[in-house]
Amino acid sequence: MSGTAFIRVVLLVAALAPARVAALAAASGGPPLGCDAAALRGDPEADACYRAEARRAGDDALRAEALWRAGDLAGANAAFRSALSRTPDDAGLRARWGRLFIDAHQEADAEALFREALERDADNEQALLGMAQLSLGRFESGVRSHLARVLRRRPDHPEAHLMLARMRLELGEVDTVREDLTRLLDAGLGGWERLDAFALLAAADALAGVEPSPWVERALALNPRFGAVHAVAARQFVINRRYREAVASYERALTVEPDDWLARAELGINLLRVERPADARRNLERAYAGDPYNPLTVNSLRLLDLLDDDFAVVREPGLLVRAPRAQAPALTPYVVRLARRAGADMAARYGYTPAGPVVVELYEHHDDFAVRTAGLPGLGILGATFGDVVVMDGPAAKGIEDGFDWASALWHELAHVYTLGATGNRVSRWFSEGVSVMEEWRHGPTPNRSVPLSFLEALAEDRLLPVADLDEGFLRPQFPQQVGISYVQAGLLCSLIDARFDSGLADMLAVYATGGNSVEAIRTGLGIAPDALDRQFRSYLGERFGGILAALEPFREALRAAHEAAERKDWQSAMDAGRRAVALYPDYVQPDSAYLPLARGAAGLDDPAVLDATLADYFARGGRDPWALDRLADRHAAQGRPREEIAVLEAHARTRPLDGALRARLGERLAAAGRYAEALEHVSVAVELEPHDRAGAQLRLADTYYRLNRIEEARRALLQALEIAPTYGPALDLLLTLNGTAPDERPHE
Amino acid sequence: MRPLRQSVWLALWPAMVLSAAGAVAADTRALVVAGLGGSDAYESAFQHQARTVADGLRALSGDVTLLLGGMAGRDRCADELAALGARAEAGDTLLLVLIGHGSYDDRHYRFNVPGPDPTGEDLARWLDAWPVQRQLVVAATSASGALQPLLAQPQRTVMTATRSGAENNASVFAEHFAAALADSGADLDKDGYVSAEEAFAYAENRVGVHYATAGSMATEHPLSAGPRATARLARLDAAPAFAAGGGAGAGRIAELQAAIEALRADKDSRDSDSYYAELQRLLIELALARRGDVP
Repeated sequence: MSGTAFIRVVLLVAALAPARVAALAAASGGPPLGCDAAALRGDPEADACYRAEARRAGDDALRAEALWRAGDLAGANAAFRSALSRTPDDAGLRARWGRLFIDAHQEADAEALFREALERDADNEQALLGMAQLSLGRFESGVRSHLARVLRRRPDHPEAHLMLARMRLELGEVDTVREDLTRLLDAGLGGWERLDAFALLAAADALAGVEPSPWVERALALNPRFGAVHAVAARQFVINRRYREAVASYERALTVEPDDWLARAELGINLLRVERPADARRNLERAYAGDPYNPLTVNSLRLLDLLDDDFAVVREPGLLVRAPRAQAPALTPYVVRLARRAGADMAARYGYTPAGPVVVELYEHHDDFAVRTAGLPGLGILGATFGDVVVMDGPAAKGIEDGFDWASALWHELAHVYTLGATGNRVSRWFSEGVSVMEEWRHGPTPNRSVPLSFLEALAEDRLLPVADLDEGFLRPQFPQQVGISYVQAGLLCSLIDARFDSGLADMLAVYATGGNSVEAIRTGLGIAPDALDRQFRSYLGERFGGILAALEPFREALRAAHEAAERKDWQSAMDAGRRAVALYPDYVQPDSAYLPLARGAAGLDDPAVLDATLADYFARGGRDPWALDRLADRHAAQGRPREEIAVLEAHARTRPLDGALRARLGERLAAAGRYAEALEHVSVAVELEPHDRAGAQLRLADTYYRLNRIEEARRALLQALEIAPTYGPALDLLLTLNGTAPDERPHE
Repeated sequence: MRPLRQSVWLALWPAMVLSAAGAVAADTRALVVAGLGGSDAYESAFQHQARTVADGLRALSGDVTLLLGGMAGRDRCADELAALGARAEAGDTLLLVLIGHGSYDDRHYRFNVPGPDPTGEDLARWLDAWPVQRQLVVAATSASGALQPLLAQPQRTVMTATRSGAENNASVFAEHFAAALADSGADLDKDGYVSAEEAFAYAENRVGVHYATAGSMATEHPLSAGPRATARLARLDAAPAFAAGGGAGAGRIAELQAAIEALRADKDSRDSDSYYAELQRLLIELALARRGDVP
């Protein structure tokens, strides 16, 4: 069974499996029960007390609440179902059932129940809180609007205020959180909400470096088993990418509450992020023993098995590469070269040298990467960096034909290693992403100046965020494409800073390193106010994109017409529309670039001059569509331009490193140019990638070894070729030469 | 030496025994048909592919008929197939290659030609009338997978561009099948010829690469069913490795090839070093014999 398939199966069986549940979650918004006081003070007998209370309960709704607080989710589910069968229009009951589903990791079911409750009662408090809770967990933008509806009716609603505080903490508004929570506590906040407020205040202290926090002592005085007082801080550290501190906080939480299996599973996942796989496995196995149904735990253990069984580990000075065993020979040389260049260039640019090896992990299946990153499949991103550990989709998970340039993405992630490292992981999200995007454009393996149409449309519609609020575009996007647009905006902001402020990027990193926020980093690092930077940015965008913004609609129309004409093989129309679009925005080499229908039209009409010029321009601007690069390489070959052909094939092979035929062709061309040492990597990889013509691939390898005077390796490869095809003439000739029976007339390096 | 070993070798390496091109040429009789393209681009592509296949075969055989576009009506196809069967002699390989558009309406496969289209049932009837010979059908058309159950016979290899009639988008299989006949990368055993099974394997591989490179879902999955199809379809430009027939050298070459095959069969029972040392010794002898230095 593949890792991915296994992960999906586990998610299905996890539905409403019994699990230890914090009474805090169950009690929020529910009716008061007799055992709440015991649970609140951490009495180990509280669960048994709730179970007894459930047995005594006069109705199903109360029994459901008691069972839920005892951690019996399946029993609570059955009781809620029974209660609703008698009062199907009870919106409150339906919403409470929905919140049980959140605890059971069944978010879609929970959302459906909340929607049903809101259809029956548009202002139902529990349903609105449930929707807000879902949005908070998914980093969606609906949190504020749902909570606002609750607070309109009950301005002092404690749970709504606590949720708002948590969201503000995630956005780094530590001072506001402290003020709000202190006010709530002063107003007499009690019960579980009081403990929850202590935990959030302790987390605010932890983020600000206040150690030890007085709020921890106050929380533990009320409830000595309240591990959440550290676990909440741990989760905030995770959101802020401070994984080593997250691990320390989880360890403290588990000292207080050793059987918090969720916290233990999260500790295991974060130990993986800081490259402590043995400790991760130990904690995940303990979490599994306590709660075998948590998909985070099972998925992560399965991932560890996958890494142990199916991945190769390659160690180089300052670098450790993990990749699927069959792909490692094809990918590792690229990773090593990029990491070495990053080590030299970025260390100088950003003033940080990793203390230990940088780890690069490449995945063959996106869902395995997603589990590595978040514990669950279905993640929308393609790469992630945990300090010095980079994990990402490899080229087998997503290819250049889907617009994913894995080497460029690796360069992006490596830049995070340096910006996170230079600031002790305190850099803001927009700035770290912005530097990474700028690095891709300017210094990466595929430099280019192309921005997607969605960004230009957002710019034209004035939907870009002020720099001071740009993190919200990543954390809580307001519209579907805002995350992607925020990446581009951040990249352009960093491009502006790099171009107009001498050491602006490094100076801003220095401010972040001391705990400064973005406003302080801009003021101190650049010497201007954030709104002044916004003004400069608008002017910069006007200079750079003014032309295309004025012609956005004609560009869109020409682009659409060019692709439609190419689709119906109307080559002349494809060329005409393609030319119009290219003239309006020549840098546009996104996957739907107009260069492609223009080139297809030129190929269809057998117009080599236009074909050559179009493909060369597209390639020079960073276009990497495989069809286009195939054609361009063929055109160079047909016209006897081996150096240009090799340059195209090198870029092409970097974007498609697992294409054995392409690697073989590049190897052959390099060998023909006498560049045998470079050829060796590609002809070796071509053999490893199980080529269609195995004998031919082995002969190319043997010949390359021979020209490098590596005679025994040449002999081994040659025998492999002849074992497949004993009558292979050129191979027999080389065998005689190796044996000294035939003259050596071949050039050597 | 070694009649027993030689017989083993004959079973496994038939193409090596019949090393002269002429010996093969007399055995293969072929009809190659390019159907209607429906557009200039397809018409031109189909005819080019059919000519490439026919040219490859003609270098090996004198009995190759090519029908293109307007000539390729249903009745003409039937007549040519009947004539081909009539000319066949014992031991011949009879070959039919269809290139073009096919369709399938859940009941009948149709090969698109001028006038009435031949159906899968027509093709089955015409081919079944051939004398029992080694038969090879290459149906490089969309929806050609529908032919597999209709044409299946013990003596017949059926290669189709698709695995079912439901795969009815325009196919790229023919383009790669034709390209195989001029690509040394298709000649997997490096005997200087591209056999039918080598051409199929090459085309199957390239079809997969085509869809992977385009980033689109594969709408065709080539399928080959029936006995191994070792018939040669083309001779590559490079001289075959062992073109010379007859004489003492040929006998020694045959012995060495048999010895190599026996050694390969025994690989698992030998340690690696001694296996490769012996393989090298035999291969050096073979290389010398090929050069004319018969020890």
